[in-house]
Amino acid sequence: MTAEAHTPPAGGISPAKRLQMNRLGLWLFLLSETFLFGGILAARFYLWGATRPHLDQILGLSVTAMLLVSSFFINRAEVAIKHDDRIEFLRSTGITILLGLLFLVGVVGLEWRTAPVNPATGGEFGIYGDVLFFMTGMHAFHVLTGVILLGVVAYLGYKGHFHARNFYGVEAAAIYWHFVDLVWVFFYPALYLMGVAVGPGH
Amino acid sequence: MSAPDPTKKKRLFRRGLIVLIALLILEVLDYYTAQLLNGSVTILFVLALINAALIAYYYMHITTLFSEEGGH
Repeated sequence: MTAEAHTPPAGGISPAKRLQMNRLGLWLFLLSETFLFGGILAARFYLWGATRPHLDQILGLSVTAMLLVSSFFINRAEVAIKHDDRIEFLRSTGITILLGLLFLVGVVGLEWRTAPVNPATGGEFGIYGDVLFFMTGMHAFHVLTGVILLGVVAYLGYKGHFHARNFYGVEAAAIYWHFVDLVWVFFYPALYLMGVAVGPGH
Repeated sequence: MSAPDPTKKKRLFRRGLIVLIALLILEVLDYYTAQLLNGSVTILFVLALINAALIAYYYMHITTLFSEEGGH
């Protein structure tokens, strides 16, 4: 902790206190997101019960692995900037963004096109299509916003905005990215693994 | 904030890698558990909770929620 971090500015709150409030605010935001995704997950169990559509298992495993590896790299970027290693920070953030984009291609570009709940592939929407597209769509939207956020953070980092004494922006973006990963840790088994596969393609 | 410590950085990089390996093992375990136990919701949910706990503790630093340490 820096000495100035403990020095309250005249008439305001200290930077250390502000940091603490920023962290609390971020976690409260994530809590509200948890209710959103929790509700979607509950809808999956209500509508699908102990069944699921027949989805591409290899694709599911691959996109999940991509997201987990991306979490490792954004953690690496955060550690790097905390230690003034800007090159590693930029490299790891870039890899995270790339993996995030690959995840989007896998889910939106491939899974949506090939899923047997898509009329284009001879299936029909019904409750399987509704839930699948809503769960993956809402999650993909968060991945996209995370990619944009990481792009902004990488740009600011490139400009020298972040360093060992000022890294909260990176920390916040990393925590948001990990949250998106954490949500998928529940969505992946709920979509691809839980229950008995039914419908076309089985 | 103290001066950057290369040893600590390496240790944190290694810890991140160990957590990733654990997460990937759990993912594969998820897959095979589903095949062997016919998609058991309870077991898969427990595995997901373990995954989530690892991410929240090691990657999201949930224990530093009320901390004033770090950048600003």
